[in-house]
Amino acid sequence: MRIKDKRWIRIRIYITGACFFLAFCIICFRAYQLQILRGSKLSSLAEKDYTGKLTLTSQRGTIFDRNGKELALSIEVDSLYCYPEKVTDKRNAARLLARALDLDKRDVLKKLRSSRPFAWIKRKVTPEEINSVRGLHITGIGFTKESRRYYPCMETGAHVIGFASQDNRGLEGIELKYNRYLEGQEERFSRIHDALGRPLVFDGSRTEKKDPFNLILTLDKDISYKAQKALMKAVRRSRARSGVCIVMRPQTGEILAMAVAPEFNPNIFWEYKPYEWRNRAITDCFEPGSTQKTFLLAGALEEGVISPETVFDCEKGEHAIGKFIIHDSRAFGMLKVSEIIKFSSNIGAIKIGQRLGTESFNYYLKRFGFGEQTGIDFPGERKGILRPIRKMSRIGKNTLFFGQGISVSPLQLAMAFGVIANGGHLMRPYIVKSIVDQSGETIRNFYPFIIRDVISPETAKQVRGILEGVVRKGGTAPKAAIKRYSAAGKTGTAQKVDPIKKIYSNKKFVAIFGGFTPSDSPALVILVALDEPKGIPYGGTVAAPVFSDVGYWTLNHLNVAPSFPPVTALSALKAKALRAGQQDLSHPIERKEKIEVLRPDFPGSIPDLIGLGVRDVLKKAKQLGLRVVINGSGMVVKQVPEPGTPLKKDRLLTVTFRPPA
Amino acid sequence: MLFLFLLAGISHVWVNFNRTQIGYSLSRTKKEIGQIREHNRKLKLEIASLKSTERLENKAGKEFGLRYPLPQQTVFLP
Repeated sequence: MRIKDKRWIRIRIYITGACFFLAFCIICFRAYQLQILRGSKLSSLAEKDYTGKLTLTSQRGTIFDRNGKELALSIEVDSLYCYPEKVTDKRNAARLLARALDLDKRDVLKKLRSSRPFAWIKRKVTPEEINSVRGLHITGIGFTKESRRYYPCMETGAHVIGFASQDNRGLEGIELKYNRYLEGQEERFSRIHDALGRPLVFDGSRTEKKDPFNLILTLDKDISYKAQKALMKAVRRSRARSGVCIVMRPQTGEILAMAVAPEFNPNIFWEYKPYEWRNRAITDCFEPGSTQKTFLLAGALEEGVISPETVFDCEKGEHAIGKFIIHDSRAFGMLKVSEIIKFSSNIGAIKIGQRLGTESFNYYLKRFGFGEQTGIDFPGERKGILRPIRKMSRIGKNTLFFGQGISVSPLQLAMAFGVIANGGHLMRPYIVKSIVDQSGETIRNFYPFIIRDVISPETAKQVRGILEGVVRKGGTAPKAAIKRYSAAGKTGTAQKVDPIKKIYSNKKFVAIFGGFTPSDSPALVILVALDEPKGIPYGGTVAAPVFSDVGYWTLNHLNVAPSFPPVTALSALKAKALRAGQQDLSHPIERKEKIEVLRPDFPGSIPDLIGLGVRDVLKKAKQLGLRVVINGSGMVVKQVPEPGTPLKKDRLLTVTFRPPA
Repeated sequence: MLFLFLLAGISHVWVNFNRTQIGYSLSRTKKEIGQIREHNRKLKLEIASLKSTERLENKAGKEFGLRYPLPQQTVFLP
C-alpha cells in the first residue's frame, strides 16, 4: 500500500471518529436537554401516561327508622358527560342522545356545541338509558359514577326526612339538619396502569377518609305510612288546603309519625313546589281554638279555683263583654266544668278563665310551652305568638280562654297534650334516636328530656278523665272514639283571620283534634289539624276520624293491650252501653303498666339506672367510661352517686341490685 | 460471577413479574369488592322498596284478598 493511501485511510478514520464524536456530543446535548432542562416537565407527561387518578364518590349515610328499616340510602349510578371538542357529528349525536335519554334535542345540541372542555349531558341515568347510549358508539361521550339518594318509602315521612341535592348535600329536613353527620367525603386514589389502561397498583388514599354516619330515627315507617294515608284521605274528603297528623309517645317525646299534606315524593322533589316540601307540623302556626280549653282546665284545676263538679251559668248561649257578644254553638244553661269541656262551651270557658285570671292563665300557657320553641332537632321551627297580657284588649283577654289571639304550631299543641297524657311533664320532642357509624357502633344517643313539670299528676289525671267525655256520645268528638281502647281529647274549630278584612272569617277554619289513647295509660298522643276544610269544618267531624283511624291501627301495631274486652263477649245490654260510650259498664281490663316518665341523662352526669338489669347497666357504664361495682342481682334499686351527679375523675359507680319481688 | 449476575437478573425479572401480577390481582379484587358492596346496597334498596308498607298492603289486599282484622277479631294475649 502506498503512503498516500495509508494517509487517506487515517483521514477517513479521523473523519469517522469526528462524526461519532459529534453524534455523541449531539446525543449528550439532547440528553441534557431532555433530562435536565425539560426533565421535570417530560417526566410528569410520562407519568400521566402510566398513572391515573381514581375518585370514589362520597356515599351519604343511611337513615333508618326506629325498627332499622331504611328510609333514605345512597347507591352509585352512572352519569353521562361529553367532551364537546371530541364529538364530530354534533347534530346527529344530539338527535340520537335525545332519543335515547328522553331529552330535548336542542338542549343536547347546545351542550355538545359548548365552548367548555367538559359538559354533563344527563346525570344519574337509569341502567336502561346507559345500555341504549352505549349502543350508539358516539365518540367524546363518557360515563362516570355518582352517588344518588333514594327514598324507598317515597311520600311516607318525606317532610321529616327531607331530601339531598344532586351533589349530596342535605337541603331539607333531617337531611339538612344532620348533614355534617350524613355527608361523606370523596376518596381520591392514584394508581399505576399498563399500556392497556388496566390498573396495576393503588397508591392509597390521598385524602383523609371520612366515613359518613348513619341515623336512627324515632319515626316508625309503618305508623308514618298509616298517618299519611289517613290524613290524605281526610284532606281529600274535606277538600282542605293542607293537613298535619303527629303521633308522639307522651312519656318520652319521641315522634313516631309526622304526616303532612300536601305530600311530595323526595325521589323527584324538583317536580314539586317549595311550599309542598314544608313540614307544616313545625313551620306553620294557627290559633288553637277550643283545644285551648284543655290547658285552661288544667291551669284552673291545678290552681284549685274549680273542681270537675263546679257549675257555671252559660247564659243560654249569649254572653256580653262590653259591646261584644260571645256565642255558644248551642244555648247551654247551667253546666258543670266537665260538661263545659264536653260540649265545648265558649261562655263556660270564659267563666272558668275569669275565675283563674288572665295573668295566671298566661303563666300556664307559657308553662305548657306556647310562645317558645319546643327544641325539636329540626330546622325552621317557629315559636308561635303569645302576646303579653298588657297588650291585650278586654275582649282579647276573654277570647284567649277559648283559643283566639294566640298562635301555636301543631307540634307545640301535641307536646302540650303530652303534658296531660304523661302526668304533667313537658317533654322535648325529638326525631333522631341515635347516630351510629358504618360498623353499627353508637356514636351518640339522644334521650328523653323533661323541659319542666307543668301540672301535678293528680291534675293531669283529672283532666284526662274530663277529656274522655269529649269522645263519648254527646261530646263534640264521638268520631274520635277507638274501638276497644279508651281515648280522650279535645276538638277545636278555629276561625282564621281574613288577611284583607283583618277580621275573623266565617268561611275559613282550622279543624283540630288533639288527644291521647288509651286514656287510662296513654301510649300515644295524636294531633290532627286540617286547614280550611270545605263543608262541615268542625274538628270533631273532619279531624277526629283521623285520630280514631290512626290510633286504632297504631295501638294494634304497637301491641298495646285493649282497654275493654271484645264486644262479642258482652251481654246485649253491655254492648249497647259500650256503644253509648258508657265506659264504666264495660269492665275495663286492668292495666298493669304505669306511665313511666324517663328522666333525662344529662351529658357529663351519672345517668338514672334505677330499674335496669345488670346488662343494661354495664352497657351504659361502658358508654360513659364508668367503673361499676355490682352488689347483688336482679334490678337496680340503689345507685351511688345519685342520678344527675356530675362525673368525677375516678368515675366509680356502685350499684345495688335486688331480685324482683 | 457471570452465573451469579445472570441469576440475580432472572430473579429481579421474576420478582417484578410477580409483583405486576399481584398488582393486577389486587386491583381486580378491589374492584370486585367495590362492585359487590355496591350490589349489596342496590339489593338493600330493592328490599326496602319491595317491603314498603304501601306495596305490601296493596299486594295483600288485591292479590290475596287480605284485610285488617276487625276489633272483635283481635285477641290480645297478655
